[in-house]
Amino acid sequence: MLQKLRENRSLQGMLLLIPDRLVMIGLLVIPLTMTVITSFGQRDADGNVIYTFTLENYWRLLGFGEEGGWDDLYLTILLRSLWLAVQTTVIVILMAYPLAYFIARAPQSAATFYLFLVLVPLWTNFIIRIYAWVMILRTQGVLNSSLGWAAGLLNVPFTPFDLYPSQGAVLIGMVYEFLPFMILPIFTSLEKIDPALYEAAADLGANSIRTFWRVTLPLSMPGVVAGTILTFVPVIGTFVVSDILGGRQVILVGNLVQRQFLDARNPPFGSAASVILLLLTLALTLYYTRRFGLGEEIVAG
Amino acid sequence: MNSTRRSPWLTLSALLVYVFLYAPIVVLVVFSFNASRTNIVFEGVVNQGPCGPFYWYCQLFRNRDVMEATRNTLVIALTSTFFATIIGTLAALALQRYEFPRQTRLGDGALLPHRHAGDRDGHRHPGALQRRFQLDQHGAGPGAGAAAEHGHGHGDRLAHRL
Repeated sequence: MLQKLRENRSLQGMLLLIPDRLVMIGLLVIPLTMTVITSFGQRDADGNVIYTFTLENYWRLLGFGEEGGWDDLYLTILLRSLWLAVQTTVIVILMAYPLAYFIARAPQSAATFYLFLVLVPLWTNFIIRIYAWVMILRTQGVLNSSLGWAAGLLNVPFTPFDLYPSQGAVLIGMVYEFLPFMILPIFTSLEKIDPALYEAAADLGANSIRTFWRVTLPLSMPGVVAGTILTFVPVIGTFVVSDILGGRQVILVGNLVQRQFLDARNPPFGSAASVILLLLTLALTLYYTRRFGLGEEIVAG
Repeated sequence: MNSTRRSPWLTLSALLVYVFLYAPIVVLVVFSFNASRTNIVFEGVVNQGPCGPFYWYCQLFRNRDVMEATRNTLVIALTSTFFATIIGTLAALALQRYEFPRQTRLGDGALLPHRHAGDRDGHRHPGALQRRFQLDQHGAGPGAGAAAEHGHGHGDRLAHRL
């Protein structure tokens, strides 16, 4: 038996993979299967799940209301989440790219420190950082009082901004949360660019702007693609940010799912919403990666 | 990268992004010395009890629930790191050192991003591709495996190592 194991290399590899596969099956495959099964179920009056096969939950999500009327509440939530994810991703790219470029151009020792500075905020708890944004954005918060103080110095009238709770606050929170996940992959792809290519571009007469558009930007696209996937997909599903910064008024798909499970006690409907969210995310990611290629920095970052 | 020329605009925008990243953390630190309980307005530095300005920190260490939560967090963090490291190392070792029939590999979601990366880029920027594969050799295995699978030149060389 042992002798056989010593000779059979693929058997050895299989054995090494067993723990990983057990975790994957136990924590991914089984829960996902249960979600799909539940999504075809119904709930009884006490909120217990009855396992049947009905498409009712899906019809309701797609706008065909319970009494046969048209109800686009859930489609609106879905579209709002998608639109917020698009906005977040674009803003995050615009903020992350200059910083990643700055770090990549810095001398080696300084670059390590700058990268470290990007990572430090991640060590603080996610929810605490979002609460800090509440303290900044609320009407009597840090931002408004600082601006009011500055306006007082300059003798200009100042009306405090009504930023919290709002969809704008949710957007700020999302951008803040996912910025590091864009900076790191872009930095990784920028750093891999061979400096000889810049010299070549200069030798061929390209100025710095042209070099950026023709050399740097195209070669750093894998990082942007990876960062986009790391940002866009979680933003659609996150519910904590919108819960806290939206003051429970901005409802995203994540909040919908969470409330169906915890408040409304309707797991089948929540499961159907999760399945739709999952399918949508998969479809978008597939389309995006087919179109722009897979950012291999997703692993490196 | 070339560090001789750096535009002041680039430095400025990098600085602004850092300000954005650190603003909430600075606010948290400042408010941890707040005299007010409600944390809406900063009413000056606390100066209460034997701890003076560190009043809230002392309260924290005196709070039994907080201390217990900290202990639970540490226990869970250490155990999950322990098991994740073992399971992850075994899996990484398996995927790096051993070859599998194609079928087994296809089901592996974790590898998906890495598998076709080299192949796709190869047709566009051969130079960058070469550098990337050199990095791959020392880094994660799946990239190297993918190269062998697609039968590129670099992949052939890598195949000998497997």
